[in-house]
Amino acid sequence: MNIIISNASGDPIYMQILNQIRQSILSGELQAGDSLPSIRQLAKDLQVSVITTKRAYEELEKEQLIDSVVGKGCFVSGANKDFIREQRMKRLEEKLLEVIQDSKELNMSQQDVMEHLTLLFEEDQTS
Amino acid sequence: MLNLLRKDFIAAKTSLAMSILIFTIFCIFFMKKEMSMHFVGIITAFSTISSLTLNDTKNHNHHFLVTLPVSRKHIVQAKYVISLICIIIAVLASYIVHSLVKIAVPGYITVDYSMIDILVPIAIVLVLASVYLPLFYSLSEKGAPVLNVIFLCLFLIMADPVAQTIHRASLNGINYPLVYGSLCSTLILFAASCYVTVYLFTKKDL
Amino acid sequence: MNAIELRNLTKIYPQFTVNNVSLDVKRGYITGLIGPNGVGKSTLIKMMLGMVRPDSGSVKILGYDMPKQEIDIKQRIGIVSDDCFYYEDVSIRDMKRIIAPFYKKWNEQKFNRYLERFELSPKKKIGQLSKGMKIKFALAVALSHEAELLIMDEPTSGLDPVFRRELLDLLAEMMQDERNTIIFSTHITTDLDRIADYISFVNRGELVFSEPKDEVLDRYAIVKGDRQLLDSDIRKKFAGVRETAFGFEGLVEDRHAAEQLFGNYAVFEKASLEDIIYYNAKGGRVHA
Repeated sequence: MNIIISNASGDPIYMQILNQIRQSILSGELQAGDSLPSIRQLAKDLQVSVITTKRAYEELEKEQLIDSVVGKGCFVSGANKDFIREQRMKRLEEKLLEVIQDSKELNMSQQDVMEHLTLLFEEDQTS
Repeated sequence: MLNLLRKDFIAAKTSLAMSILIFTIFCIFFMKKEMSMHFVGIITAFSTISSLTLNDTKNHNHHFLVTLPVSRKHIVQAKYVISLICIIIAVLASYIVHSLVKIAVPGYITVDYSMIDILVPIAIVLVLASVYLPLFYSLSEKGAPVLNVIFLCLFLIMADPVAQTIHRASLNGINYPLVYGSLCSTLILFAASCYVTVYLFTKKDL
Repeated sequence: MNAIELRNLTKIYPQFTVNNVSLDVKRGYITGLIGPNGVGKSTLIKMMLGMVRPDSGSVKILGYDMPKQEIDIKQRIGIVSDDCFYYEDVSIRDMKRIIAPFYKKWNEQKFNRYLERFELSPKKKIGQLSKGMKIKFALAVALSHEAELLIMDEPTSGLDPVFRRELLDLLAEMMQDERNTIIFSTHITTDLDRIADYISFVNRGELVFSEPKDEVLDRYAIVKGDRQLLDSDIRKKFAGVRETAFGFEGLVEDRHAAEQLFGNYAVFEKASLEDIIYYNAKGGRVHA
């Protein structure tokens, strides 16, 4: 798993960590049961404050993406395949909404967008 | 406490060499003089004490000492103990060297040495140190070297008259109870001085 | 649990005063004590170390009372200071021989490993060391007696960028044990701030705030805009404003309130710790 912190980003650092770990879990790069680095280890590796990594982990726990076991560390939560799928769907929807927004700005009709999408699907399959 | 004494010995390696140099030079120059033995003992003892204390101030070493797990009380007490050791060693060394010369070169030294000639210099340096150390610990880093110079000057001026007085007194017959009594009171003075210094130093901001 | 508890510390000097400072330093975290030069940071640190005795107030370190239990405290703390106070004409090896016996938990192996890592030769005299090397030596000593609390007074001012980064790793290594605590003071905001969990800001002898760094950085903002937006009431909302012929730039303490006030008429930016020090120190209005 890679985590890249950008100081130029407008997002707070904890959010950047949160997003990237979430991404890794949702994409399946991190499997259920995989252990995550400890809060302090992650803070050391990223050279950020412990509070920052702690907050990122707390948010992940709230989203039920990870479980923290006292004395053992944090693990990718396994129980929640449907939930994770739901989460991923939600993200996809967000992206699609963005596409719709952009297409409006470009004066594209719904038809145009659909056609474009079909074209891209075909290209993806042939490649 | 032992650790603090150890520290002085390690840190003072160079100044110890200096003390030995002072001792040798003064021995050579004053050997023929009547009061040489007292004088050499006193000046060696005192210069060793002042160089030990100077060593501590030179690089704000009190800042370093107070970072160590020792109380300021111990820092001061250790300095008094090491001063006492220096005094005794210096005076005894002077006595031994003078006695050896006396035996080795008959007629070179005409004075006879007795117990008094060891005790009196010890008492004198004890008094000096009792005044010097509290001043040293309550003065700032800048004040300490000045204090040393003043004390050394005072010393050179006072040495001869004091020596003469002692000599005359011993010629008139020695009053042993008086000598022991004054030695005891200088020891008490030394202890009291230690107490005062501890008080001053624990209050002080570094 | 607090590693350091300062309560109502007051110290009056002829030139300036540390005024009624109460500060908690959380155990298990890194706290940065920031502020301009000569506002009392060093005095506060010296009071923690028992070097300066406060006129009033109390100091508690790791649950022990300063100065009553200062020996217990000093067994457990490591000190790294900007001004080196070791004996100049003594070698590193002899200095270690002086220091080591004082500590119950001295770890000789660890010390030697650090000397090697820092490329310090044991034969070198302390006086021959560069400023950075002296700090490395102090750090090696502090880390070799298993200190639970590391107190650093302006540690980075003599360090090159390479070792400054290395220092971050060393400190983070120490912080892997969550019982350990670090506090450092600095007047320049450096890489050290990156790993700080809490920031305590001291200005003119008083504690301005002591909070998690992320909260501080979220709360404060730099506002930029046209000078015509400013009137005397609005100016008061700024911790400090810098006005030029081309507009103003100021620090606000409450980003949300300012966003509501200025709406789209002004530009908002994240404030850095340096911004916070600068505008607070200057106070009121700053002319370019």
